[in-house]
Amino acid sequence: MNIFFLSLSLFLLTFPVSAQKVIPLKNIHGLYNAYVIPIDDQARIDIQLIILSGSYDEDDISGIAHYTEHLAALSSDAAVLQEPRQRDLNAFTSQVSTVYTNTGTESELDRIMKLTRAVLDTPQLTQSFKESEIDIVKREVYYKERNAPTRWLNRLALQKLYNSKSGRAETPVEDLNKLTVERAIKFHNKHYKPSNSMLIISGKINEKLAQKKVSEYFGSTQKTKRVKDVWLNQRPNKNLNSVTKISTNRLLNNQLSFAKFFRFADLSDILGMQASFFIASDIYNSHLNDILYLDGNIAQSFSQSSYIAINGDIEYTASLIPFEGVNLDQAHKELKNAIKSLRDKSITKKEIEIARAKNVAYAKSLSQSPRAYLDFFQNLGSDGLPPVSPKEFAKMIADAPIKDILKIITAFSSDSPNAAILAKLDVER
Amino acid sequence: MSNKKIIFILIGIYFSVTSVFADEQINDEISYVTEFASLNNNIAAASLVWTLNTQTKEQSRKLQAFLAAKISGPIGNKSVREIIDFRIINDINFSIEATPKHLILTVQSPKENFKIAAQHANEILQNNVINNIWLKRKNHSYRNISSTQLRTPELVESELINYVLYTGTVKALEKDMINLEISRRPNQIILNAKDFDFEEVPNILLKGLTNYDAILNNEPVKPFFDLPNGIIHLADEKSSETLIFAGTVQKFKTLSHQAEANTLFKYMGYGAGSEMFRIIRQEKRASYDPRSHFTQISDQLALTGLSATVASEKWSEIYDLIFDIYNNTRLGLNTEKGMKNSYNTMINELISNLRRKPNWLVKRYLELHPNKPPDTFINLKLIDASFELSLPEINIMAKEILPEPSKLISIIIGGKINSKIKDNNKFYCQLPKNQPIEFCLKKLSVAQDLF
Repeated sequence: MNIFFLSLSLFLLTFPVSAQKVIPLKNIHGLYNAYVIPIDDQARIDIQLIILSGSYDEDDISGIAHYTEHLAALSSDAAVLQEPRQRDLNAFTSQVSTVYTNTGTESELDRIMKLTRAVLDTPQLTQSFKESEIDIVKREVYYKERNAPTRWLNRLALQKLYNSKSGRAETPVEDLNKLTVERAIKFHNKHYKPSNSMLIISGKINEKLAQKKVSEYFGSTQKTKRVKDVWLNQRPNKNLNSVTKISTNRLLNNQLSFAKFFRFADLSDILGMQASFFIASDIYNSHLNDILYLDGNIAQSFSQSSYIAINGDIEYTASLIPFEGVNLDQAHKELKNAIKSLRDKSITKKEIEIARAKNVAYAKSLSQSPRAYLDFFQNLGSDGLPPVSPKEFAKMIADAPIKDILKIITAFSSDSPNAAILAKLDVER
Repeated sequence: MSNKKIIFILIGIYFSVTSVFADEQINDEISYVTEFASLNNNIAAASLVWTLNTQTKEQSRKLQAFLAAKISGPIGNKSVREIIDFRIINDINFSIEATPKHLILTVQSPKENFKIAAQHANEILQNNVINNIWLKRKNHSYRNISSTQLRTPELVESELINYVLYTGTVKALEKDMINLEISRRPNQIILNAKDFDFEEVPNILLKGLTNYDAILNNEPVKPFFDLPNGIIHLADEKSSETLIFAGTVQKFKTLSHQAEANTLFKYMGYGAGSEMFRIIRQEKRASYDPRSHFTQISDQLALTGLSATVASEKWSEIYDLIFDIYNNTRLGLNTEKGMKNSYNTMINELISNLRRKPNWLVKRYLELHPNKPPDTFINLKLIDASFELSLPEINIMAKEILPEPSKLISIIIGGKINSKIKDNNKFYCQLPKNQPIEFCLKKLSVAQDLF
């Protein structure tokens, strides 16, 4: 790759929101980690409990982490509240973590601490209720599939990429009838350990009070080893170049789903790596978007996503609906050519600075919403890293070294394992 | 350049009191400017409104797709990439809405960037070159997706609303005509920001746009249709999931009546404390998404209803249960605590709409003042009516507030035919596969002579 630097005045990375200092608590007892983030101009307190395990950590049945999330949330409600199941629960299972958020005012602090602590207790609900919750999970999974049929196609691409139906690839719809109470309790017992959990308390609270409450509610917990992320060792065949053609009636359009695996090997600064990754992925996403969508006429619609794991593994996925007159084979070829063309492209300093500015603007925009603050806090926290506030994120973005950004773009454009699913509709709608 | 009329509406910080007054009045009879101050502190928005009668939903889609293509495509020498990066860095967002009488383009950004956001919006409007690739893309994006394909309650709601609102038959719209129409000055500009001086923003938005009257579809909008009652069923024996919707489009006698109905629908199906959630999800374990619908679609007119997606083998049992919930609520058998929660939810939703959704306020305003602002002051009486409800009275009056169950239309998508339900209903339509819901709505309407 050629590197060409263009002289450009730096974008201002100003961030005029009130400071949010992330303070690690000194006495965390058995927890993996605990932080307090005082936010003076906020009236409420949010407590996020991050279980550092998610769907990637499921052994062989997809959806167990999600079903366990339901049981733990409902059980904590039943244990603490006089009228359980009458509030909207805020819990979410991602690939690498499961996050429970409880919110209240200062006067409700004890109640929300109790609700948070109870998530770690083995779910105590009647057997029939636990069993019947499987039906709710089924309805939820089908509901999400109907709303976004593309999810299914992306899962097929990942299954081909990893040659697996568990860990980094999954089959939540196909496995719905395999969900059992016993497997969920087993998952809970293994993963819902204090030492596999991180606590983030933010809002109208100071360090002293937060420490006091953590000691009060988690003081009896014992430090154990964190559950190992076995999936981090799951990597595709180095020479994989898989293309699968299918015929389907599950989609609204002919569609291409593409997945690619590559690595950023320098793990000397894991937090810094995340910032470099945000900028690099913005640059390569923009490059592909320009060629296939904005300036070209290959895609009717095009969406991309990248994920970096704590060991530097990066997974890129793309979904493309071909533009009128473009067939799936052409679209696949053009997508691969667009990735390759990055090898000969000069990445200018201007491009890097624009990507920095876009990331800061994005953070600033989200920081307008109190709820979006929480996403910031839990984003890196889900990997066991310290939470990051929007302001700290802006500084990380400003400091990300150009050489690391370019290394990630080079790794993306190089030959690496990839899999594509070309899905053609049975009957053109 | 433009003369303007500015009217402020101030909404008290706790929204317990509303006060309205007119500020200055200058008027050039082409573009009227109205200013609100309800949005959250850091946000400013401007909505450009073209008064443009639309006869069919297809016309409305074409107009919106055209405006979307205009926003998405290149402008002169500027590439789409440059434009997108500029918008992301300055946090400038556009949205498009349409009603049978208006096409609305809203630009929104943080207050500190709003003047450049307005300049950018004007640059888009002045650009008359429409990129055909983007137009094709946007026509595809705005295409009709039938609720029978994805089985989501949101699509059912949208199809029912379209059936009621778009009642004309003229279909064709020429691209050049649309371009000409959207190149003219908008009829109204509606600004919204708290503690912000819009100063020259209207002039910036209107710079270089030509003045002429609407040329497209200048015929009056045809009267809305009523929804028929009865049952529409798309049977699908292979489906694992069945969507049930039961509702109607309700015309309210008063704004209080509207707010009361909204509260009752919140009681029936909004959130974890509601009757639908408590009975259908938590007791029967039958659905993930039981909920109620209350969407205002015109002045004192809203689509209301209840919906749930259930395992196909259970659909008729849950269908009966949904009607039990409706009937019990209508009989006023509602808990004091539940009603209080529902009232708070209704008020919170109202406040959230005012603070975060500029388009919501624009549509409410346009329902009252479709062509130009009033000479004196603007009074959105819905706000006062909502705050002044008496909860005990709602329970007593619930029977009058909610229509009789026999007046509702039920839409069932999926599952087997239930002969008992079929035989017991005078107005029943089995929807053929690949037909939109409209097919049966028309049949039932003919049977009930609703046109």
